[in-house]
Amino acid sequence: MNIVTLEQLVKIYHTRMRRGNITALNEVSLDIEQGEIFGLLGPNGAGKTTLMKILLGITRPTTGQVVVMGLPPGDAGSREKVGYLPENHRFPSHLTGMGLLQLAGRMCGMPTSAIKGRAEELLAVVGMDKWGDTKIRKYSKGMMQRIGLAQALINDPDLLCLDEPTDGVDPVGKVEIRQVLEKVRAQGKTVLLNSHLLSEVESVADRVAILSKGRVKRLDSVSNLTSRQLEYEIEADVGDRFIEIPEEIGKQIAVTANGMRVELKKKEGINYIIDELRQRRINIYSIQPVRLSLEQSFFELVQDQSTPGGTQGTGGAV
Amino acid sequence: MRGLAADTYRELVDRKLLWLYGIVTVIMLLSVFAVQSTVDNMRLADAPPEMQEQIGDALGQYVIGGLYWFLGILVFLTVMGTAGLIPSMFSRGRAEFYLSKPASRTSILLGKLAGIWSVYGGLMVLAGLLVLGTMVVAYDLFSATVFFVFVAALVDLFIWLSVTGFVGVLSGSFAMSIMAAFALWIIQWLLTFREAVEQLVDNSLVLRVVDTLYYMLPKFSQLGDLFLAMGQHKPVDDWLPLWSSLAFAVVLYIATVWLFKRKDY
Repeated sequence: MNIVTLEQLVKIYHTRMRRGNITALNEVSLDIEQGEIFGLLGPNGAGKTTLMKILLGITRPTTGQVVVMGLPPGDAGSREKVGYLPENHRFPSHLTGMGLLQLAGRMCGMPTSAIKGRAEELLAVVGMDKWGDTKIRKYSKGMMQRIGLAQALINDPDLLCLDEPTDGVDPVGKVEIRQVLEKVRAQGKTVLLNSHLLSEVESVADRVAILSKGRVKRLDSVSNLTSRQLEYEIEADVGDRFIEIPEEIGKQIAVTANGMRVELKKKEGINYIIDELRQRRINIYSIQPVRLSLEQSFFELVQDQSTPGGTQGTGGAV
Repeated sequence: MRGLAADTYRELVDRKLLWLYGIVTVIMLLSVFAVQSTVDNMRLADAPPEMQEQIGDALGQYVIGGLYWFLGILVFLTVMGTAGLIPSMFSRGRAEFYLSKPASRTSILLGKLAGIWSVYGGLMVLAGLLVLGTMVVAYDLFSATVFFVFVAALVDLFIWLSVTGFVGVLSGSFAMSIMAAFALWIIQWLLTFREAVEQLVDNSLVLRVVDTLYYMLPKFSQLGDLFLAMGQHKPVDDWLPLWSSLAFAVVLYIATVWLFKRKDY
């Protein structure tokens, strides 16, 4: 079941003076399914925050279809079970952490009797239980992010939209926030995560959309994005021998400390390599597809897009 | 809008404006006591009953006039003190918090404006009641029509909020809101000399512009006179200042909501 559906979404900001119009999002189409952690990646100005704001009705799309929880985002009902942690937020500084959660709860239409208990529970979840009565203006950046996450969770949302949730948070806090996200996913809820920290997205996200200049350049699972489908690391007693591989099968691209790395034209080519090694009585210990970090994959894609004639994505590309 | 009035109250308590209200009120209370002996001397004067009645009326007018000016100062302070609330609420990084909640934009905006009007208006009324109570005790004078002065202050605040709210949403700037409020105050004051302008200027276009502005814009000075007359049991011949000022505010509130619903944050 889709929690979010975007079809041919376009957002153009009309600016005054000579700068002309800015196309923040250009024909973006994607679906976010219930229960997944969906990562949004892209360089600055790629349109990630604009996309989130459109989902929440904070910004209106120029054209295109947007459906959130079965409703258009302009309908306040679509936000009933949505939580949002904005980027660079400035929560009302006259409030305490508890006051902010109470205001958020009231604005979400929660019964007054339920708000206090829920707020106390969330303060404990984000490690802010000792700071609930302190004014927000006295909070550090990391504490602001924690209280921001708590206010986003106040209405027990089915869709949690987080824009740079670990910005300014210390390493311990980052792990705690990751644990909260995993807990939310375990409850069958959906998370839309926008982060510059690719390792963070890699560690929790199920699927990722990579945006660049307002377009979705790649939309795929993290495992597909990080694997090089036709490159294999073979752990074997190859020594420094060079194994000759016919051109139509592939090529040996490196000799490694434990064996070698090959690049194949087709997946089936791996059988030829195994046969060849065994005929030479070379012991094989393991064969694994080469994996990149999401960061490496992201940079490869972004650099590829920036060069003339670069590919427009594969597989789930939109 | 649930929560926004309470939020406005917390915001008020957190601000130094509350101290300013307190200082003005204390000065007003001291003034009441300062003129008490003068009032007592007037009363002790050995005068015929008709004159005593005239003295009573004069004192009554003094009480109503004093209260009116006191509340006028509080309205002024409130307009200056709250002009930044709407731009601040919908500034970058804060608007996202409010607008991501499951409430319509209309209810968020009107909830905040209603919160400002009721919380700050309530505070004005409380301060006014304190001063009025002190006057009643000190001068032994009371007339129920004095409450028209409170209505005048609340109506004034309602109209001013429509102006600062509209400019706040339109420009997102505290400075612009303040400047718009000042500009409106000056223009409406100049328009009180409309009849003199008509006698001096011959140009029909200028006269038409002056006339249009006069009927369109709120008339705070005349509104004050109107409510003072009601408070002093005087007949009111012309209700135009009240209806046109209220119509101006209502139109501006509708325009503010329309604008707010279409704005990207």
